[in-house]
Order: sequence, then C-alpha cells, then structure tokens
Amino acid sequence: MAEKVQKWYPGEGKLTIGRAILYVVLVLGLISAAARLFLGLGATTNLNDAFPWGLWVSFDILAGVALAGGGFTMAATIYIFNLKKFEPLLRPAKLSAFMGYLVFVIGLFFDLGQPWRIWHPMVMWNPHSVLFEVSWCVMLYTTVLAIDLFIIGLERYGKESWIKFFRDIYLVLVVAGIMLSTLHQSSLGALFLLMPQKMSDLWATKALGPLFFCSAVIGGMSVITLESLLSSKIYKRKPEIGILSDLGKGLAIALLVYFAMKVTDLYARGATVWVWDWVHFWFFVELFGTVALPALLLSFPEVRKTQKGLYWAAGLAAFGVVLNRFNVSLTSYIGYRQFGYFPSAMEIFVTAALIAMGILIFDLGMRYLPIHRSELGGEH
Amino acid sequence: MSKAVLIDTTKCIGCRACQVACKSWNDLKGERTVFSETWSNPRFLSSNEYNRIIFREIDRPDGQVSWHFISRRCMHCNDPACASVCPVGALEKMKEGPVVYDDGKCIGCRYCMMACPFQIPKFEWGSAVPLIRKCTFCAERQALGLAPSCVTTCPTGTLLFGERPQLLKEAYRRIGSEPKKYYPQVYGEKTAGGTSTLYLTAVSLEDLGLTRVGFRTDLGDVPQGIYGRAWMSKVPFVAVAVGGLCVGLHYLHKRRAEIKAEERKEG
Amino acid sequence: MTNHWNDLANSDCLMIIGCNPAENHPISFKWITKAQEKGAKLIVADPRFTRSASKADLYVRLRPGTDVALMGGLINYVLQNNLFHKDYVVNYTNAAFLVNKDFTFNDGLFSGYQNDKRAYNPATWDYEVDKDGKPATDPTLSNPRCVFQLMKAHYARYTPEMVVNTTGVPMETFMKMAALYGATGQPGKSGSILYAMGGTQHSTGVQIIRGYSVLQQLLGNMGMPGGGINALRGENNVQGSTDMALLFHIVPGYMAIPNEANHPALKDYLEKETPKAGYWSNKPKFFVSLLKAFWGDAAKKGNDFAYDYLPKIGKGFQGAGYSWIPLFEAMGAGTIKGMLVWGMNPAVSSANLNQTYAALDKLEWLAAFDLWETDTSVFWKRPGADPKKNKTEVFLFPAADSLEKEGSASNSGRWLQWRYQAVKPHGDAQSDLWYANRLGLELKKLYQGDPKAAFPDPIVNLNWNYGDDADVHLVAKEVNGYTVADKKQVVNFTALKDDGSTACGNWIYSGSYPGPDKKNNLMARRDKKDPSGLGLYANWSWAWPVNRRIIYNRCSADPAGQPWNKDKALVRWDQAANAWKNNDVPDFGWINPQTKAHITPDVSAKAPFIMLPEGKSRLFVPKGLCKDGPFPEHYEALECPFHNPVSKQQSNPAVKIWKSNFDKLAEVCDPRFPIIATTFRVTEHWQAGAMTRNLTWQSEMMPEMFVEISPTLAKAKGIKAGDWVKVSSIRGEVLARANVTRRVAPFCCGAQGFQNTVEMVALPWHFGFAGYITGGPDARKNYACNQLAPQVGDANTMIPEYKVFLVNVEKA
Ligand SMILES: Nc1nc2c(c(=O)[nH]1)N[C@H]1C(S)=C(S)[C@@H](COP(=O)(O)OP(=O)(O)OC[C@H]3O[C@@H](n4cnc5c(=O)[nH]c(N)nc54)[C@H](O)[C@@H]3O)O[C@H]1N2
Ligand SMILES: Nc1nc2c(c(=O)[nH]1)N[C@H]1C(S)=C(S)[C@@H](COP(=O)(O)OP(=O)(O)OC[C@H]3O[C@@H](n4cnc5c(=O)[nH]c(N)nc54)[C@H](O)[C@@H]3O)O[C@H]1N2
Ligand code: SF4
Ligand code: SF4
Ligand code: SF4
Ligand code: SF4
Ligand code: SF4
Ligand SMILES: [Mo]
Repeated sequence: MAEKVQKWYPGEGKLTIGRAILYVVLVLGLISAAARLFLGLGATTNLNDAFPWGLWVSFDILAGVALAGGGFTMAATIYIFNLKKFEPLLRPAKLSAFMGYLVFVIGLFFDLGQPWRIWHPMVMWNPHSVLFEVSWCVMLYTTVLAIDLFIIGLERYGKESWIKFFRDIYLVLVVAGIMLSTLHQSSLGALFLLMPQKMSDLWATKALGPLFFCSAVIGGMSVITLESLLSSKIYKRKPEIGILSDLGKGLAIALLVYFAMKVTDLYARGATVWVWDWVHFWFFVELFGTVALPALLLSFPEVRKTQKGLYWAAGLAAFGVVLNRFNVSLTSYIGYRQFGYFPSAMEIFVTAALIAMGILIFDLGMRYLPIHRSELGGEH
Repeated sequence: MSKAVLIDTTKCIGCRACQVACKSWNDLKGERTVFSETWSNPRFLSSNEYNRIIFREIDRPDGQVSWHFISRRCMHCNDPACASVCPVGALEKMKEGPVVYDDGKCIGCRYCMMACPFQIPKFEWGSAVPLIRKCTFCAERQALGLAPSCVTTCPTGTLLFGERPQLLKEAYRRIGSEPKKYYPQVYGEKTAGGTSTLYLTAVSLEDLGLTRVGFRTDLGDVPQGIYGRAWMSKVPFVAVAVGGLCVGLHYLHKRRAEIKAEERKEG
Repeated sequence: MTNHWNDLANSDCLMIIGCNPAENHPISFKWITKAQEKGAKLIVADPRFTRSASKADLYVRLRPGTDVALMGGLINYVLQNNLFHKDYVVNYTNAAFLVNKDFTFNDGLFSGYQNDKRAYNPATWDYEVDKDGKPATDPTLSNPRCVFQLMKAHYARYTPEMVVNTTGVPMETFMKMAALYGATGQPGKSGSILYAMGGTQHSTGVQIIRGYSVLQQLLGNMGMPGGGINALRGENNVQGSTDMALLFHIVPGYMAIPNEANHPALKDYLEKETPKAGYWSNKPKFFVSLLKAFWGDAAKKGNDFAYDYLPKIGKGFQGAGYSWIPLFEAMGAGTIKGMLVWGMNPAVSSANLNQTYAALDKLEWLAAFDLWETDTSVFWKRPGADPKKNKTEVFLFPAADSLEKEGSASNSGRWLQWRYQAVKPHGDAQSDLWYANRLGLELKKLYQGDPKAAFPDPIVNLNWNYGDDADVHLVAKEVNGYTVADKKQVVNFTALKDDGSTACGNWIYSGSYPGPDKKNNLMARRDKKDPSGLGLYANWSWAWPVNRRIIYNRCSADPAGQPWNKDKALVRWDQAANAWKNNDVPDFGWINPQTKAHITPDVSAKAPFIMLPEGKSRLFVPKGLCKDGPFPEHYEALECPFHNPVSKQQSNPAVKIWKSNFDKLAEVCDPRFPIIATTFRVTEHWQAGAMTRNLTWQSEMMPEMFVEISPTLAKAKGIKAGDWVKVSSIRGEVLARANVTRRVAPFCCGAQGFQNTVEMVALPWHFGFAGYITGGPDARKNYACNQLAPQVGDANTMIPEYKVFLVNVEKA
C-alpha cells in the first residue's frame, strides 16, 4: 500500500515567512542554550534562590506536558472508550504529544543544574519522590510515543513485517501510555503538594493531582482542536468540523467537570477568594476567563460548529491550562517570596525556540509521515 | 543517637564568629555586599552562606530598645521535605541527625529548594556546574567525634551540641528556671515533625519578626516528608487501577464488536 | 587587668563601662555569660546601645565624656548610704590619711594651678606627716582633713540631680544602678569594672579611670576574685608591648626613662626614682640588671653599668614628650624626618587625619612593616593627593603574621602565652624579630666601620647575640634574666642584684623562663587543672608577676587573713596551722625566704599594696602622679555642646592644646557643629582595617562606612535609612551611610534651668581608602572617620579624645 516518498501537501519544502521566523527563533534559542550550558544558570537566567523554578519549569515542563495530553486522551477515547469516529485526530495528537514531550525533555535538560546527569534518576532511586516518579513516567511515556511514531515511520517506508510485530504488542503500548500519562500528568501537580504553606490558598490543595490530570485532558483536547484547525489552514485541507465539534462537546464537559472540581475544592477548603490583588487577578482570569468562559462558549452549537468559535474556545482553554501552570508554580508564591522574578531574555529565547522547534517538527512530521492517513490502529 | 544543636538566642552576642567559622570550615567565598540597615549581612543565606546571624532591634514593652541575634541555618528536620522530594536521593537524613547531601548524585533540579519549608537549600547560581549548598551540620566533623565548627567557635555557649532528647530537657530546664527570660517554647521540638536545630528565644518568633524569613510557625507538627510519601503510596494502586480499567474496557468493547460481528454473520 | 579574663565568671555584678566586650572582646563573654548563669547582674553604661548592652540587666545611657560625673554620683551615693566596705576602706586604702592643710579645691580647680602653664604645681597634694615623717592617719575617718572626709565633701556635690543633669542618665536608671552596684560593697560580694577606650579616649581619660577605681576601693572590690578594675586591652599583644616599654616614657618593667635634667648619673636616677618603702625599693636591682642585659660586659661598675648609653628624655616635642600626638606634630613641624611604621596604620587610626597626612607628606622616608599594603604605605596615593608631588620614599617590608612565627603574647590578664609557628612565612615575609635583629646587626656593622660616627658605643657595644636568624628562645631567656657569671637563668626577680652580677631584660617577666631548656618555658604550659575552682589555672601559661593571677590579693581576706568570702578564697591564714593556705601566689610578704616561717597576717594587713610606699591603695593620689588632680573631677570634653554643670571649669585645665594650622577646635556650643559625635569599633573589623578590609569574609559583613543616627535626627534632617550622609567637623568631613537606629538617642543635659537636648551620632573608624573594600563605592573618597576627630589628648597619657567631638550631619 505504501507509495514511495511522495508529496502529500502543496507547498512542501518551501521556505515560507512563517518558517523563516521559526528558524530565526530557533537559532536565537540555540545561542541562548549554548550560553546557558557554558555560563551556567545564574548568568543566563533570572532564577534565584527565592524563585528556583521559573519560566522553563512553568512552561516547558508543566505546560508543555499538559498541552501534550492529547496523545493519551485520544488513545483512551479511541481504544478504550471505543469512540472510533475520532480516529482521524489520533495521529496528529500523537505527533503533538511527542513534540510536547520533546520540549519537556529538552527544557528539562537545560533547566537542570547538571544536565549531563539527566539519567541519574534511572539508577539512583528515591521512591518517595514525586519527581522521581514523574521522571520515570515521562521517560517511559516518551519511549512509548517514540515507538508509536517509529511505527508510523515504518509505515511510510513500508516495512510490513516490522509493523506486524508492533501491531501485536500495540495494546500494551496503548495501555502503558494511558497509565503512565495518568500518573505523571497528575503527579506534576502533586509536585507542589510538598509546599502547601508557601503557596497561595487559591492553588494550594491536596487535589492538585486530579486537577492537573483533568486540566491535562483539557489541554490535550484543545491543542488537538487548534492544531487540526491550524494545519488544515496551513496545509490547505478541509477542516474536519464535524469531528471537531463533537470533540468540542467533550471539551465543554471536561471544562465543566474541571470547573466544578475547582469550585468544590476552593469551597471545601474555605479559601479566601474574593480579594483584589495581582495574585487574585490571575486566579480570576484563570477560573472564569479560561475555564468557565470556553465551557460556556462551547455549550452553544453555533460556536461549536464554526471554525472561529472553536478557535476561540479551544484557544482560551489551552491558554487556561498554561496560565494554570504558571499560577501554580509562580504566581502562587509571590506572597511568600522576598524577591521577584521575571524571566530573562535568554530564558524567553530558549522557550520560544522550543515552541518553534515543536512546530517545525510537527511540520516535518506532517510532511514526511503518514499522519492524516488511515493508520495501524484503525485496522487493528 | 540523634544529635542536635540547641541555639539559646538569649545568650547570643551577635559576634558572628559562628558565621565566619562556618565559612572557614566549609571554605566558602566572601560576597560583595552593601551596607545593611540591620547589620545582618549578607542579607540572605546562599551557596556561600550556610549560617547567618539575623539582627533584630525591637522595642520592649517598657519602651526601651532590645537587640536580638538569631543564627539562621538548616533545621535538619527529622523528616525533611528536601530529602523526601529529591528524585535521586542526593539528600538524606542520617540517623545521627544531619541531613546530608551527596555532590555526586544531584542533578540540580532544585526541587529541594522548592520543597524545603524553611527556604534553606541554596543553589550555586554563579557556577556553570552548580550544586545545592546548605549547612551540613558538619557531618564530616561529627563523624570524627568533633562538634560542628560553629559550635566550637561560639564564645558564649549559645550553641549547644548534644543528644536531642537531652537538649530538649535542658531547654525546658532553662525555661522553667527563668520563665521571665524565655518565651515558653522550643522552636523545632515539634515544628515540622521535629528538627535537629532547636531554638530558645526571649520573645516569640512573631515578635522578633522572623516568620517571614524562614522561621515558619504555620507548619504545625506535620512531618514535611509525608506530603510526598502520601502521594507516592497511592501511585501503584492508581497504576494498577488505570491499567486494569483500560484493559477491561478494551476487551469489553472488543467482545461487543465480536458479538455484533457474529450476530451479523448469523443474521 | 588587676584580675584576668576567666575571673570575670566569679563576679556578683559586672559593670561594663567605656567598653563593648561583646563586640571587641567577644571571648570575654564566655566568662561574663558564666557569671550571669550563676546569677550575677550585668550593668552596661554606654552612650550607645551595643551588643554588650543587649545582654545587660541594666542599661545606662550616658552622655559621652561624663563618666566622672556618673562615678562621682555613685561614690556619693555609696558614701551617703553607708554602702562602702568599712573595714576594707579603713585598713586597705589611704582613707584615713590626713592631707596637707594647704590642699584645696575650688569650683573645679585644685590648689596650685598655674594658669600660664596650663598645669598644676602639685606641692600641696600630699599627706600630712607626723613627727617621724610618716603620714598621719585617723582610723576613725572623722578628721575633716583625712582623705575620707575630703573625698566625701568633694563628691557631695555630685547629687543625683547633678548626675542626671550632667550625664543625661534618667534618675530612675541612676538610682537602680547605684543600688545594684552599691550592693557589691557588702563584705564578700565582688563587683568587677570592665573598661577600655570608652573610658580612656578623653581629655579626662585618667580621671575617668580613677573614678572607676575610687568606687572599686570604696566597695572593697580590689584584690577580690570577681572584682578588680579590668582594662580590656586592645591589640592582641598590646599588654606585652607596654610591659616591654613600647612607650616613650618608660623602660621595660614600668620604670621611668631617665630624664636629662633630673638624672644625669645613675646615682641620681636610682636615688630619685627609688621609693623608701614598698616593693619598688628594689628598683636598683631591676634597673641595673636591665642595663646589664642591654650592654653585657660593656656595662661595668666603673661606667655606671653603661648608664650613659641609655638615651635620656628631654621634654620631648614642645614639652609634651614623644607620645602619639607630639610625634605627629613634630613630623608636621618637620623635626622628625623618617619613620618606621611597624604594625600600625596611622593614615586611618590617627586623630585629625588631615594633620597626619600633612605630617606624613613631610617625611623624607617611611618604612612600613606590615602584612598588607596599608592605607599608610600608600598615603601618597590617597584621594585628593597628587602622588607626583610627594617626595617621601616609602619602603614596604612584608611581615609574617602571628601564625607564621613563634613567641609569646601577653593578654590583658597578664598571661604570657607561648605560641608556636603554625606555617612558614609566606612569600618573602619575615618575622618582626627577624627584621629587628637584622636592623640591629646592620646598625652595629655601620657604626663599627664609620670613623665619623658621633657616639658609636651604645650601638657597637650592644649585647646583641641572637644569631643571624634570631632565636626567639634566646630573647625570652634574656628577658627572664640570668646570672652573668654562669649565664644560668634566674628563678625570678627576687634573685636579681644591683651589683652587676645579674642581667634581666624585664624584671616583671622574670620567672617566665627559669631554666635552660624549652621545657622550662613556663609560658608554654597548658595544664587545665583548676583545683580552686576559681578559674586560676596556675599551670596554664605564666602570669606576671611571678605567676600571680589576681594582684592585690591580700585584700581578698580581712586583716586577720580570713577571706571576705569563704567560697572565693585566694589566700587564707590557717589559725590552727599557723600558716597561709594559698590558691594564688600571694601578693604580699607571707613567708620568710630564709627561715621559711609563715608571716602572721597582721603584718601584711598594714601594707597590702606592696608596690606603693604607703602600702595602701589611693583614694587620693598624692604628689601630682595624676597631673590633673588627686580626686577625679568632671570636666567637659574640649569640644562640647554644654556648659559644664558641675563647675565653672569647662574643660580639663591641664591638657595641652596644640596650635598648628590643622589643630582647629570647635567652640563650646558651636552652632556650626551642634551634634556630639563618638567613635567605636565593630566586631567585624579590626582597627584601621588593613586586617579585615582585605578579607572577604569580614568585608561582606560590614562592607561600608556608616553612622548611627537617632530616628529623631534622621527625621529632622530628612535622612532615610541607608542614605549617604556627610558628617563634618571643623577639621574635615566623611561620607557614611545612615544607620537610623533607636540604639542612639539625643541627650537632655545642662545645668539646672539651662537644659538642652542635643543629638549624638556614632561612627565606626575602621574604614579608609586602600584595600579590598574602603568603606564605600567611590574610589576617589576617603572613608576614614578620623578626618573628623580632634588632636587633643588626655593631660597624663596624651591619648587623643576620639570619643567626644562636635559635628554636623547633612544628607549627602
Ligand atoms: N573586633 C574588634 N575588637 C577589637 C578592636 C577592633 O578594632 N575590632 N580593637 C582592639 C583595641 S586596640 C582596643 S583598644 C579595644 C577597644 O575596645 P572598646 O573600648 O570596647 O572599643 P570602642 O568600640 O572604641 O569603645 C567602646 C564603647 O565606648 C563607648 N563610649 C564612647 N564614649 C564613651 C564615654 O564617654 N563613656 C563611656 N562609658 N563609654 C563611651 C562607645 O559607644 C563604645 O561602644 O578593642 C580591641 N578589640
Ligand atoms: N576614631 C578612633 N580612632 C582610633 C581609636 C578609636 O577608638 N577611635 N582607637 C585607637 C586605638 S585604641 C588604637 S590601638 C589605634 C590602632 O591603630 P593602628 O595600630 O594604627 O591600627 P591597626 O589596624 O591595629 O594596625 C596594625 C597593623 O599591623 C599589621 N600587623 C598585624 N600583624 C602583624 C605582625 O605580626 N607584624 C607586623 N609587622 N604587622 C602586623 C596589620 O596588618 C595592621 O596594618 O587606633 C586608634 N584610633
Ligand atoms: S530545613 Fe529544609 S533543607 Fe534543612 S533538613 Fe529541613 S527540609 Fe531539608
Ligand atoms: S537539586 Fe539536587 S539535591 Fe535538590 S532535589 Fe534536585 S537532585 Fe536532589
Ligand atoms: S553546623 Fe557546620 S555547616 Fe552548619 S552552620 Fe555550623 S559550621 Fe556551618
Ligand atoms: S558565635 Fe555564638 S554568640 Fe557569636 S553570633 Fe554565633 S551564636 Fe551568637
Ligand atoms: S579576636 Fe582573638 S583575641 Fe579577640 S576575642 Fe577573638 S579570640 Fe580573643
Ligand atoms: Mo587600642
């Protein structure tokens, strides 16, 4: 069935303005990353003893992984809940997930004080540590995603016998992927369980794990929606509005559940919500602007069924997930810390470059891998 | 056999000999600073500063000024948050008391810094191969049967080194024999599940204005390590549950599909 | 110190006045804390609330320069309320002595004042003598001409109201202090006074310390464990350097340097300088032995033991001798042309620095022996100076530090502690002994070979045999003393002779190295046994004299030899055994050296102060030994914003006022400089700063020059905490960060009806213009506080008045 290397999309390989900008950003980021490696974190970032975690943790690690939640969400939807109609979204979701985890791993690499020791948790164990668990899960899950993409790659090059082998163990991969994702997506929230007293009441909750998990589902779904809409535009394909608005319905439900969880949690803990300061401002933006509002929007079929409506709703929800990660890991500490923190230019360049890299890889994937074709899982 | 240090701040003359002794023993660099209004300098603990004396000038009830000096350093928690979160086990509570750090393991993730409720672990921001730094309780001296460097240096006996239970007894003896002189609490006895650094003060930590600089009074008696352990203890169950559910549902759907297919064949 | 560091732990009440041991002698707080743990009370009297004050049971904020008034008030209180230790005062002090009938005191002036000379003729300051020429006494203390009654009358003027008006101490605080410290007058109780530069650096410095000691005598605190008058010495071996006469007016062992006019020959010196009674009657033995140590075989009977070789002092520069101020004035006037600065940094530490710099500029050469390149060795590069215009040739000799050499250091408690070399000197550094030895050898060589040398003998004949690379043990042995014939070490100074058969470099150190071997070096002893439990540690190092830990210890027991406090017995007459039982080396004749029979206590009770001819401690100082009066009297500092409330005499009538262009003084109540300034040290820095401003660990703790300012002054001047401010005096100005703190406060003082509130600021004096840190960010600025301080000194010691002067403060 496999054609030899062929063009799937018009305009492939051309250096468009968009791509040029991405490359520039990538180069800037590479320079910053090199500087960071040779000069150290202190010289290149604005991190300090009061804010040891900054942009890279908030975005590259926490937000990146949450936004990459699409992979396991779609896999579960399709394989476990058997909602086969969403199959066309699966491969892009996997690709974007892989991208997200790549960002995570590279971001983490630069964020670690001793990056070359990134493998240490594999051999030096502290089973009490949430971060230990996260690192194992992420490593394993990234491997799963890599295998998955490898299979897709094999498909392109028509290695049938190999594909058959993977087809036989595919269920193991899927289940492992979902399991690992459930664990680490929630554990990333549980990282912050250790510091309840330092965080603002608004986010310091024992329920951080489940909340992170739920918002990762939201992050995944909204990214898939956005990515599908965007790629159809870029690669000049007809948007799959039908499937997407069904997904939108799911997203609305997820947002509602998340909203309910948050409100219940705040209420149960008796958190002081109605105060006006910067910390609360960001909290309100997060809760109402990026959870309640998109849920509300998506509840209208008029919105759900239009490209523009989906853009806005999914965009807000995705932004909300990112904002939530920043809020938990940075905003919530403002009241406690003596210093302030705003990322340095180099930090921003590196993060921007990671985003650019993600997009470029996605672009490559779209161009060279059979992403929008019927795939293994479907025949299985 | 767990050692501790009792810091009786009512005896401290703020001479900072312990601050320098610590730098000397640990071979720590001096920093460039500017004048500090309180005289405490450097103003924060850092990778060059494991121990600093905080100066507190406060009014007494009778309107006179009083001046207090408080050594700030790692609490050497009995159940330390830092050690419980470290993904590679670079930090470890020894049964002898110190919470020690292994240079060779640390990956520099700085989770310990985030987790420590007392804001103690500090990072070598100035280095390209940075490590975590904090008071070691002079574990290597203890291993040789010596008291920590700061303790040996202190001229006034403000720093008392010994077995934790004995020190607690001594602390309460002091409070009991001079109730006017002491605030009736041993900070660290139960704080955060108990620590190997214990404090006696003349007035409360709140009155000293210390709670914002790491002397937390809102931690209760909760051992800080349990937050992470509580989560991690659930992880295997979640894993099994999620895995089982997935496999179950998958086969359920598969079976249904088969039944449907059979029905179709038959029908 | 009459007592010693460990002994502070034995005190019932410690008065820290004019010093700040928590910051400047932190180790002392080991013992002070111990005393407190045992229930002792701590009083801290200081114009500033210091780290010492933070540990006090009673803090007394007094206006700088008013210690005599405070002491006068306490003395008056103790006398009025009969708190003094009567038996002690009658038997052990000169309270009962009658005073010359012509001695008077009138509104601030004692009899014999000579206006034109700014000095006293002390002829009337003496005892009445009976027909045998012995001082007449009245043991009932009731004769109106006895010291006790004169003293009582003198201090009756220091009423509590007067004290409050003069010192600014609140009445309630003063009364508490008086009651608390007065309680040490009970027999058996001991109170200790600790002092240092806050007491001495005044134009009335000696009077202030005398005030402390009069109080101690009245309360029976001298010679007692946990008592005494304790000077916390400064530089680590400054005690040793005064013992060894690194001062212009004495030779080693506190013997006066011969004087051109009075002592042309050895006979004159010995006759005039040797008292008839008391232990000093042995002075000829010590002095001749010293000459023998200096010139060995060249010191013979026939040539007065080379007495002529010894330089004699004239009146010194402008009649003021050669202490610090006259030296720099002489340099400024061009009469001194070269200088060895050996372990000091006058470009920061000297008073009135602008005078100092001008004086240094005039030098032809300057040789600095130091661990660092100090502000002094680069004085020609100081801010505002043009290096090209400076003609002084400067040599810098790298010195080995204290860990790089062996030798003894004497602490404030008179303990000579031997130290070993821990590491070899770094780089080209050499020990001070090495330099001194080389200098001696080279000078000898130069004089030997030079036919033009005017008077080569003193140098050529110098007994200088310590080897090419001087052996410090040889020096220590010479200091201990030896018999000339066989070069055997003497046991102690009791073996010294005045016939030239013994030599001894310093009689008070005699006994520290009484044998030929290193094991005879008693300074190196490190025995931690303390059988008395009083912290005497008799076999730890060696204390002068003759390993006595507490001097005047006869006074720790009553005339019958029974300790005032049984638990703190230094010496005790055992009635049953007819013998003394001693924990410390007795400071009195207790045993007949020949017969070994013990001498009954009544003998020593008559003269417990063996160094004094009258045998009693001096509430009244006779014969002008204190140039500014026999009783301490309050005078205001030279620069002062108040008129003296106590008498019409504004300032010390006997101080020398310098007249060079640089020696400007603000007027009394000068409106241009309305604020009192005082200077102080901080723990974090050492002195002129070379030692600590070059160390990063010290520098990070106290990085910049600052000035302590009260919140009220800050508000009045619109100064915020941390602002740079300009502090100026009539002599100069300095920039400093504002340390706005309630630890300093204004004083409300002045004669009744003329009270006025005046602010006080306080400045550390450790900063300068050279080194790793200078005191501020601007390399073109000099952050040395002494640009402000005046060049006026105490009438007796000439120590500069660093502790009170007038300034103005403005936002920079
Ligand atoms: N860390 C450190 N220690 C030192 C030194 C150092 O530079 N750094 N220097 C050493 C030397 S050489 C010396 S001489 C000693 C000096 O030791 P101290 O005499 O203790 O030193 P200062 O800080 O100059 O002065 C002590 C106190 O006197 C107070 N004072 C000022 N005026 C008066 C007054 O009129 N009456 C009274 N009662 N108090 C007054 C000041 O406020 C100050 O707190 O310290 C020695 N120890
Ligand atoms: N305003 C103000 N001024 C003051 C005072 C004050 O209270 N207020 N106090 C005064 C007093 S009490 C004093 S003692 C003077 C002190 O004034 P200085 O004696 O001028 O000051 P120090 O800094 O002690 O100088 C000692 C020098 O000796 C060097 N040194 C250290 N060890 C050795 C060694 O082994 N060999 C040699 N050759 N050199 C060595 C050090 O590096 C340092 O430069 O300052 C006086 N100045
Ligand atoms: S104080 Fe912080 S760094 Fe020290 S042991 Fe406790 S948790 Fe660890
Ligand atoms: S920074 Fe090092 S010590 Fe701290 S948690 Fe991470 S690996 Fe452990
Ligand atoms: S115990 Fe050791 S490391 Fe800790 S403060 Fe004391 S000297 Fe420093
Ligand atoms: S050494 Fe002792 S007295 Fe000095 S600051 Fe440290 S704890 Fe306080
Ligand atoms: S600096 Fe040295 S001499 Fe001074 S108190 Fe400390 S140990 Fe003693
Ligand atoms: Mo001094």
